[in-house]
Amino acid sequence: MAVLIVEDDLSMLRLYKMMLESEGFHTFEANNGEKAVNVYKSLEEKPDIILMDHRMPIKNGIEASKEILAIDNHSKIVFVSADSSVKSEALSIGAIIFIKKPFPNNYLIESVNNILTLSECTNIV
Amino acid sequence: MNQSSEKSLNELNTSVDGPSKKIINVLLIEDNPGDVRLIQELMKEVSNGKFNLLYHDNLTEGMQILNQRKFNVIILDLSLPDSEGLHTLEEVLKNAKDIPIIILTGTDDQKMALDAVKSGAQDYLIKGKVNGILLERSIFYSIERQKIMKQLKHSEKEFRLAFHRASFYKDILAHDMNNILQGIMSGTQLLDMYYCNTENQEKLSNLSKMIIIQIMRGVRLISNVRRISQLEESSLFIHSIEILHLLNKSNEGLKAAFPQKNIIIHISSYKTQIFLQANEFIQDIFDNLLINAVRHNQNNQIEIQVKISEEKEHTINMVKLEFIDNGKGIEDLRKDKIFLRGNREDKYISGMGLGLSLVVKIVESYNGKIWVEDKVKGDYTMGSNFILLIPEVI
Repeated sequence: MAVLIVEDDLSMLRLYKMMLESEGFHTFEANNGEKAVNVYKSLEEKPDIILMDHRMPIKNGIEASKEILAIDNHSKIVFVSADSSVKSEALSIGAIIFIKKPFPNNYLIESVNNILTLSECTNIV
Repeated sequence: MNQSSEKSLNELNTSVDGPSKKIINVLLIEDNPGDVRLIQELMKEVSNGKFNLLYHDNLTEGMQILNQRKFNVIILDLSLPDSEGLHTLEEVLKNAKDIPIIILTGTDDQKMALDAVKSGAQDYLIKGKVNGILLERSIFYSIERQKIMKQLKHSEKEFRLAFHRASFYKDILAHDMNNILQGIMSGTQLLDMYYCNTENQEKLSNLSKMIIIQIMRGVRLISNVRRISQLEESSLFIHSIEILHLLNKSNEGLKAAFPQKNIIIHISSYKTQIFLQANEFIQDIFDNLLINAVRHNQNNQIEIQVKISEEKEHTINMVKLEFIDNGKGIEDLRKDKIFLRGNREDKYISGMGLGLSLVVKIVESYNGKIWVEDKVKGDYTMGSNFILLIPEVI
């Protein structure tokens, strides 16, 4: 299982990486919205989850999510921000879940696992 | 026929009474000589030297005198030889600033007089129905009402500023502080997970470093917020301050803050001492710009050039300070946005946001300017040039 981590704060990016890798996920990184779209396009096998921050230079999380969903509207975007005022917009453009910072690590891991289990079930049906 | 005359109704002005002991300067713009005379007579009736009347019979001359002299109230006929109706009022309002306007109107034109009051006149008087008491009352009433309106406008402005300030602080709390807490929480939980296993020594030490970085960000955030509120709440005293020794102080501080980095700073100036119209906060500007130049730079050798020169802005002597670095540069799209803060649309750069918005606030309080250009025009990857313009002390 692979996660594309989109986060402009370098130390936060490294923390996400450690969190997810310790749970056995493979990770890709992008430090702004534009790079996220480019990394997504360049990956032959698309990531199972995209962990998306909002306030980033060049292109923010909403804009990047829109572009990724335009490529594949089944992309699973986990939107993460400290600013809860973007929650409704994030969900309305197609993010699966909005997680407000700060959150405990296991909340993110459980959310990601739930999303993956759920999508497996729907695939079987 | 243009005629004008000036006449103080009581030159002696010894026994002044009434609500105010001050002389009230009245500008009357009225083209009917009969009505002018009537107003003069009525003023005499109640005056006791309170009123000083000056009149003109057309708008153009009325506006000329309005811009030359100080008046406390304007009495205005809307139908003049060179202007008609509400347009007359519009013209006077443009020039009157905070001077109250009383409309003088005929019995057949009360609707227009009311429209004039809606558009910004304070009161209206009907020709033929005015007596001295009414005229006096209308003048005092208009002056007081205008004063209250001015205060109201002022407090509305204050309120709006306070509202912006509140949303600015709310944004800092809602966003930045939560981000910092996220870093501390994630780091601590991972630390907890790893610490039983001695093989993870390196990870452990990295994690504790990351947690400390987040805490330091929090500390910096709080001290910047304090700086900003000091700037906003007290109207800070701007005085003459020598900046070259402050710049050297910032320079030394920078090297102490990043002992493991190889930093070369070259300062060149057109004078050996430079005095700016500023205050001690200018040190925060230097610190912020220099620290950013180091933090956003991945070279083994960090080179910062500070160039100081003279520049004229209109007629004002400004000093231009350029902070040129060899860092990773700033894309054109981000050039304006890095100075913004508290704006939901801003594409915020972590760690940099509040620092630069603090710098902007300080520069603005000096009536100065700040912007960023590429070190090499057209190629942002070669580094940035942060440019400051601050008024010089002459």
